[in-house]
Amino acid sequence: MRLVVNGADRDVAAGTTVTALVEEVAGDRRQVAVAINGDIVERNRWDELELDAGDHVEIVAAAQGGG
Amino acid sequence: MSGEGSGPADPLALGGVTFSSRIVLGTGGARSLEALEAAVRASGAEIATVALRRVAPDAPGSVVDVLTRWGVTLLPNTAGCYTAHDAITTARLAREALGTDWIKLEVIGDERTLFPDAVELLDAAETLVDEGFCVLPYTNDDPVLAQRLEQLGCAAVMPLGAPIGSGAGIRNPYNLRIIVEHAHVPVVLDAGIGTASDATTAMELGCDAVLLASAVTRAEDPAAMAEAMRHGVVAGRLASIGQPPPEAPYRRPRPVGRLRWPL
Repeated sequence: MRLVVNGADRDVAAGTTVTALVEEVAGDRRQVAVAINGDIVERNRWDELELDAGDHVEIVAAAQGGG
Repeated sequence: MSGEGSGPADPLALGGVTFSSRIVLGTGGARSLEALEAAVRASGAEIATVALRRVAPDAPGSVVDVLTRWGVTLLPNTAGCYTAHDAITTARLAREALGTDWIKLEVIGDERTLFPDAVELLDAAETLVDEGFCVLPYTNDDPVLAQRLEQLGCAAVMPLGAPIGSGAGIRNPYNLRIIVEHAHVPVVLDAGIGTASDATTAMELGCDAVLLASAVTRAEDPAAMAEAMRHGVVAGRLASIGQPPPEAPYRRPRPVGRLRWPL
């Protein structure tokens, strides 16, 4: 199924969980946050929550920038 | 009274935590992580701001690793947000990602000057304070707006000295003085500092701390500039504590009596 992850189309297996997607995209980085269709998904829900086709997923982390 | 002006005897209390440094370092504009690390160390900063961005698979190292290695407190910012909605979402994501309630709240109203949008700022501050965030808002040098932010429960106010990235110093010291006089929370001069003497001026005017970003990160030698800022802030802080005699066109009576030779 197709998702939009950080603004780009991405194909993943049906039933992919947030945890699995985060591992795919962010590797072993731990300090990331996830929003799906504009709603923040808390970490304790990542294992159980499966993504749906068409979901817009944002995976963000701290980076250099601003003041 | 303090001996150092930025040592343990004269700590900065911010959001229920005390710091011995009175510099908040922005990470924007740093040419490399190595340059940033050198600047962090030379400045003595114990707080540094970080932005929240989409995860890039090929990101070179981690700014978080560098900052935490030196015991620097991470202060996520909402840089790049133009609405209360976006700033609130960014703050919530930052809390989730970094496990901190601290947020440097920035809501920009104009993309050329990067001046804050006062209406959106108050709106976002109110929501975030209600949600338990320790809100540190970037604001205009407007004494009334600073008061409103304090009344909403912000942990500090962060007025600009001049537009972000301008290096134009403190353009309205009168307003800044009024903000400092009225504030019951720390005042952190945010934006406009171009060089060390500007940081000194901010502290002399009674600010509790300064935020520096491009003045250091975009300097020819960021570590040297960071060290200059450290000294500048300490000098200004001590001058603020030391209270020079009031300015006068000339001194009367003369400090030294008239002398005529031979006695």
